[in-house]
Amino acid sequence: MAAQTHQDSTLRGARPSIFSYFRDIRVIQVVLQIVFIILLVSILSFVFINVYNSLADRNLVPTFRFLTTRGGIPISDSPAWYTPDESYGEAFFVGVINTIRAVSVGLVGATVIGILVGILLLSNNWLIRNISRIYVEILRNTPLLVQLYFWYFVVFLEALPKDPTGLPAPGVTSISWSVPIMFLLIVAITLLARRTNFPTRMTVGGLLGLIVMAAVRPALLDNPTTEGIVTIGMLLLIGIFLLISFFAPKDWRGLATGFLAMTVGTILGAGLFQLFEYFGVVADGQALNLSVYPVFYYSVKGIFAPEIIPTAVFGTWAVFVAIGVALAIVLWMLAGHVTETTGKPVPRGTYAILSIVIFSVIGWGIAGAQARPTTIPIEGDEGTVELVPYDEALESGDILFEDWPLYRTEPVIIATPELNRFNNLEIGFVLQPQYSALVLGLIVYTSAFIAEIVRAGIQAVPYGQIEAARALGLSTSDTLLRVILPQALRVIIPPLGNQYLNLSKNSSLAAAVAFADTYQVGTTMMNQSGQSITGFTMLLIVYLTLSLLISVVMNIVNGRFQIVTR
Amino acid sequence: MTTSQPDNTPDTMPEAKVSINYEDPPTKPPPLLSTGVLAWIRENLFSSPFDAALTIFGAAFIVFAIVGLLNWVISQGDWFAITFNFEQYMYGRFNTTEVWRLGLFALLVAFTAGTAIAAYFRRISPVFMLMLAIIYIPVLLLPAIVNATIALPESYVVAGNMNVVSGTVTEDPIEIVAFTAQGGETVALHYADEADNSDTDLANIAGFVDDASNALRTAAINRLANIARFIELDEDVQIDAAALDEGEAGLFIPPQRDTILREYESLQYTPDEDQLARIAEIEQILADEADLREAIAAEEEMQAALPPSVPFALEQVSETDGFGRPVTVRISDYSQEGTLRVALYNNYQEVATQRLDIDESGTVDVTFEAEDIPGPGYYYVYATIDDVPRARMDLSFSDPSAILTPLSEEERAALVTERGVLLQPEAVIGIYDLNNVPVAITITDRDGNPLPEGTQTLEPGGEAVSFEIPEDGWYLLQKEIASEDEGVALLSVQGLYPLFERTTGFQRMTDGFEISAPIPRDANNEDYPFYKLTENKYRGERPLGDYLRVYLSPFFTKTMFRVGSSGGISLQTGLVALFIAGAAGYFLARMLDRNSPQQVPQRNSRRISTQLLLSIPFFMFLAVIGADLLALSLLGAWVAYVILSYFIGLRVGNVISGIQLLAVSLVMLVIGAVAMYFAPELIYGADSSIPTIVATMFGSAAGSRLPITFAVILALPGLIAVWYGSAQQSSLTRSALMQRIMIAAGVAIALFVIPVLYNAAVDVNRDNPDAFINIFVHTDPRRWGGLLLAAFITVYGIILAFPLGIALALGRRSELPAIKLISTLIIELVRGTPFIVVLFAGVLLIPFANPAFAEIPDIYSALAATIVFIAAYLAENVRGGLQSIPPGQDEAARALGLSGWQITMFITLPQALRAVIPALVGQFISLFKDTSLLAIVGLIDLTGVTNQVVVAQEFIGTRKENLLFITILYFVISYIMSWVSRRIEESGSGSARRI
Repeated sequence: MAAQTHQDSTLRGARPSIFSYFRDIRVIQVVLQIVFIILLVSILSFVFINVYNSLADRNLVPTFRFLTTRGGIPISDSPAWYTPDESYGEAFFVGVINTIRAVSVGLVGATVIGILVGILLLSNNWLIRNISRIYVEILRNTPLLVQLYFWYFVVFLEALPKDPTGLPAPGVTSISWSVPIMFLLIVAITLLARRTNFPTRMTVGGLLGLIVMAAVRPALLDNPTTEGIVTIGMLLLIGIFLLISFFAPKDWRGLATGFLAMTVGTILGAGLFQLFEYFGVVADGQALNLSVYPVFYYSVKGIFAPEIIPTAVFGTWAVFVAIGVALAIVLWMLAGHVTETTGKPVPRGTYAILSIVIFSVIGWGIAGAQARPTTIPIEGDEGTVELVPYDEALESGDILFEDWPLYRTEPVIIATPELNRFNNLEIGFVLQPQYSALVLGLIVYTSAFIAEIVRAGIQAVPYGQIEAARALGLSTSDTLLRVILPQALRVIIPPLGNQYLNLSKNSSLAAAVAFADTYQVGTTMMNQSGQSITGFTMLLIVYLTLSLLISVVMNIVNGRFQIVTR
Repeated sequence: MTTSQPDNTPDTMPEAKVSINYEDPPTKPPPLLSTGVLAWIRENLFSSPFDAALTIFGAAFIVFAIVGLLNWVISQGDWFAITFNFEQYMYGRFNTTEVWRLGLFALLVAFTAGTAIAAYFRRISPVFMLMLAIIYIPVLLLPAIVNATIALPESYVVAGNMNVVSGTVTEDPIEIVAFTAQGGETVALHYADEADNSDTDLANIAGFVDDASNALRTAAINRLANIARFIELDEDVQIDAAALDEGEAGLFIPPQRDTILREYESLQYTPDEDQLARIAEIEQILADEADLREAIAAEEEMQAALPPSVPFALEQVSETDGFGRPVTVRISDYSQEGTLRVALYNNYQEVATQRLDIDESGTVDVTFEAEDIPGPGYYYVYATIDDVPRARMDLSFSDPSAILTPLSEEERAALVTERGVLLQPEAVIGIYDLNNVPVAITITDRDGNPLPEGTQTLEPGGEAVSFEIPEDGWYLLQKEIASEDEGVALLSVQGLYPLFERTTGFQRMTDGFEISAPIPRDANNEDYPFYKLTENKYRGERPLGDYLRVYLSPFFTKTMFRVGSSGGISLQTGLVALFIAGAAGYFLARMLDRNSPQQVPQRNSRRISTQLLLSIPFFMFLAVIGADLLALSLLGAWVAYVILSYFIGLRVGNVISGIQLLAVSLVMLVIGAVAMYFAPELIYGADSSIPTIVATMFGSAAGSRLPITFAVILALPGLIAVWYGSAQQSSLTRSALMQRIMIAAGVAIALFVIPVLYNAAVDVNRDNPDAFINIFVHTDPRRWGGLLLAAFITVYGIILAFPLGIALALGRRSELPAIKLISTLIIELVRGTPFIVVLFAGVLLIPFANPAFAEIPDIYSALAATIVFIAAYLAENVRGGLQSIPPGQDEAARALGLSGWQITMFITLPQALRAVIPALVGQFISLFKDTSLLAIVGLIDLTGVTNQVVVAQEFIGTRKENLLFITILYFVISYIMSWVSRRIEESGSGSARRI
């Protein structure tokens, strides 16, 4: 029967009519696809021709040639070489650089804050849990644009002071003799408590006390009006911690004791110092005076931060560091191989770090010992140029900031910001308010989403895993690092990649805060030159490349973290 | 616990009385810390030290944040910008004569939503009602209570004939001011007594302040700030200088020192002679005091050096005591060799000293001369041997109460302050001789006729004057100071409040009283200055009462009682509608579900509620775009389709659900296009934008082919209905079926023809919005804005993106390589591009795509871009849903012999769509937030309104307030949607299926 049918069909197939092809599903599919493509191409070409013609009517034939003509786009946040006289192409390139600057910092910041908030979302502490929940909900449910407006117009242009304000405030502070005494007290209490292991809680308590005292002491010294309040507050604190150290559960006692030791130590130390002064051992307040110079300045002009400058000998040092890193990698792999083959645990992390550190230190020494110019040409009063020895020039302050890298011995110098007479930055690194607002806005907004992802990821790890880890006697950090995180990361990484993509795309909102990123420069370019088709093509290419890059990296990372099944 | 003795040992303890206590020991209460609130606190807030630190930190943060925010909101924020622009925030510049459409829309939505929600839950939740009441009643009553109990704040105006200078600003007191008032109000004026005592009082006035008053106030504030800063610097600079003199480092680090000294000098002011004398006096006092402190310190040192037992006798032996006479002191029984020094002190000052050498023993008399003891005082004597203090004695006539004491901290600070003040300019109230001149006050009506009270004079220290306003209108306030008197008077006025100038007239901000008459003009035919908000802002720290009365109450009044004066609905009306509809929905649900099968008792009501909610976009279409003939025709066709299907034997639910909805929507779109193709000019006016554009796009209109259109419109949905109906219902006989089709067709034709007849009969003038309720007019899309625009783009973006998104998803999963490739390409291209780029491309390029598009409003370009953008994301969501369906479903369907198309339409897609409902809601929220980007491409959505408001002259500097307001709006709406989404998610796929 079946054979008969088969024969029939072959017989019929032997004389195929033209229509039978149109009944063949394969042929229909191919024809349909061809029709679809023709339809699509014709519609697209229709639209494109229309656009092209309309543009041509306005004398705006799409071309890339305009990229080399003078752009005249002023960009405030640009590399030193850029001026408005540069071409459109270069302006666009600066835009791309700015986008990358914003996105890269944003990604790191959003990840760090997001993970932190995600963990806080799971905190046992009701208050903290709900504060982070509110943080997440508010940020998730309001538009990024509004948030950016808030950061830029309200925080960076209104709330910050007009004149640069130093952080920490410049002036004179006092360091206390009590600091060494506090440490002695801690050691003494440790010995008294006869603990074999390191008293973590007590140390934490001590540090807490140190912080409180550090905050309180200057107020005590400098400001008599707050003295009373501070004293009462301090007494109250000491009282509370005294109570805790007596009545609280065991865990708390160490903490409270450490705190008490530190505060009492501070007071004792202060007393001891008074005694010294009384007997003339210490001359007067001079010994305690310490001038403080600001490390950061903040104002509506932006945030002034220390600048890291590689000097002329940086190259030498970099070579050493590179050798150290290379050796570290080799050691790491070798040690890993040894462990795998013999089963012997090798502390490869320590070896790697040691290698890097040793080579860096040696390199620092060798780079510092390299010969540098010993005399400095300095322009005299009458336009003459004299050669002044380096040491003299250093003393007279004739070395310009730009010349520092030539003469300094360190491979890398960190220059704290300095202001000139007009409160403008002379030395240092400036974060413009536009850039700061954009990056901060992106970080805060994306962190809310990342926090939710992290929370969900950690919650996806069955609780039994944690219990099992505890039962095995793993420490809290080991439980977190070796049990929870590897499993949570599998859940976290794919949506995290999505958020990274979102952040990179959201960086285009820089236009709202007048930060010259790709989109902003691109639209300016399009408006000025009228080359909209070309402009959009370029924008598309940049953002697609960025997205592709991020998704490729995230896919690789994802691949590494997924379960390997056999 | 008591243990009983074993029974088998009676003889060992025969006499022992064994008591067996069967009662349990009394249960101890659990430890205090393990139950109740304390336990909760301990467990949740203080479970570990780190936890406790976090809690303290968090609590401090919350307190700081809330207190700071509330403080700013109440005492500093300027909320007029919100109240005044409320309409704009809600619907942009929507034509005021057409606002009734929005009211209608809101009412319809309220009804629909109310019915739907009640039908869905099928019960009246007391908690929900209670919550509504708790929120609603206070908000409803608040304006009334506040207005009744709290008086409006004072206004301050300046009268005078000299300029008020503050910094670089010079203000001229205005003599005649126009203001609006309601009949029956009282305008009362008096001197601002609260401000004329000192600069501190002047700086503290709070209320509506005109430019000149503000200049006075600012001058006072500046002066106080300068004084405070000067005094602060003065002390530091002096300490610094002293330290420098002694060769120490000083207080300031070198680069800072120059700046500080410069600031110090700039704050200094050259005082006149009297002041110089007083400064010298104060400096003398301070110097004396410093000396005195030194002397006291020396005295204390000497006292401390005295031996515990005196090695000799010291006594006063002179016969004559008292002032102006010599005094003799005797030292006897000494047993030491050396130089004896006897010093007479008066008030720590050494007055006289006598030295003599003494040998081993004896008696010495020392006499002090009369001139050393001129008058009463605190006299004492120190005896010193070899410069070592040995004995001390008070003289008999000395008066211990006369002893000098150093100044207290407060007195010293007061003197320092006084010195600082003296080194500063004269007090503002002094410069302007504030409130010391009589002011003649007249209020006239707009033509210059004085009120019956006539001209009243306000004398310093005299009574307040008041005027009764006869009727609503403009009035002129004249305040004159006689030319011979030089001075400035700060008047406190009740009844004068700032105005907003708007196209329709003038609105008083404090209570919304509106007047449309123009401002009166003076003899030169120029407008009188009037009391406008830009010049009469609220200044100073604001108390809660003023905040409630001036900001909160008008805001609620605006939202609650009058959303637009031209026919918008109020929140109350909406809520009432919601309640009525809720009740209706409740009974409807009860009635419908009475006959539903036992397994799914809520099936019918839930279906109804879903369908009702789905109809909201259509209402929006009606309201926002305007109901044109095509829209009505489509509505008619829709109803016809439903009725038709029903008569054929389908249930209503089946007709309007799932994939059929999609199919019919598509058909309706096609119908629309066809209709517009054939007869655009018959259906639309020449000026309506979209249809014209669509018509032009498809070619020109080819004469009247209206009947064909009708036929198509009626036939197509009907055919679909019959198709499905006949497939599903075979119980009807042929004749019954025909009968039903006939009835349905009749209804459909009627529905369709009535609007056409109406149109013909009324002969609507499309440009005249006053002609009856002209539902055939398109609203101007360029005027849409605010929340309305955001909602429009969100709702239509999602709805219209749906077909495209599903098509792309199916395309991406297709086995045909070309379609798969193209779909993937489109999806990935769009997803890799920022929304703002897509929007910008849409707005910029769509007008070029076709000559007909050149005039297309940006809103439609933006909507088109949004649709493409959202479709790509929807496609991925739907693809996720499709992937989640087990392959068994597909195989089973194939085994049943369904075709590929049927499998997709009836098996996989419906399940996939149900699975991705939460993701879709997420998409909805995200799109709603993303509508803020419309502001960047120049549309006036919520964010765009903010951008416009903050550059308006009256509202410069209110960006914080505006941003906060839209943030709250965005948050509330998004949060409600995400809450609903979470509820759906939590209730699991089961209830998602029921929906």
